[in-house]
Amino acid sequence: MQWLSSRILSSDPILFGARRMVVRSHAIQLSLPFVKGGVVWNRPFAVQVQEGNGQEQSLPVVDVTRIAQLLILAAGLIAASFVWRKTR
Amino acid sequence: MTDMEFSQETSSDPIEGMQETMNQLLYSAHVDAVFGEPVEHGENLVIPAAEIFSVAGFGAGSGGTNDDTGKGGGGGGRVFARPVAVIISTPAGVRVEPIVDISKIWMAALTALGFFLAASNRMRRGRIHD
Repeated sequence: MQWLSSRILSSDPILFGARRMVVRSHAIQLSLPFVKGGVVWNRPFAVQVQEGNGQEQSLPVVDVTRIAQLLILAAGLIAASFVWRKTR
Repeated sequence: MTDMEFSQETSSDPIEGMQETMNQLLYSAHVDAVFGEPVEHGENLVIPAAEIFSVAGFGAGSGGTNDDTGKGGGGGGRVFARPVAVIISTPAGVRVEPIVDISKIWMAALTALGFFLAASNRMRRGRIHD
């Protein structure tokens, strides 16, 4: 049995007028062999749009809050390491 | 972030309880768990999108003497959900509008600042003692 899996999941097409949309999510599933149960992390990934004239585009779903959090924490770590180097 | 707890305890059929817990977990790994039901508003269509994080565990056991046997099991878990974006379909086109959680960003900023101040203070004190 695979204990870690990463999959891109697609929905059924959503039809709205002449437009057809398919939403996609990225699911990471962790199931440890010594623990009965598991962890699932599922987040929106992209939306595939097909217009009535056949034009197709894929729009990514960007998690702005998560990016901002990671940038701030990275800035904090860089600043702390800078101070550490200066005070050594 | 909203969260939901689920638990299942049974003494009659532990397999049923574990199955229920497992079903809750497996549903989190489905695309429908992330994208909400599309909402139509005039010529526009809105699809909400959220990040789902779920954790679940379960167990079962049986035992007893020849006259008195018993079995039991149970499981539990927690689901965390956080809105990430909204997909808006208009006659002009489709766009993805991000949902920015200002309070989470402030929390990250305060955590980073607290960590930075604590680290720099500790280093300064260490320097004085040297």
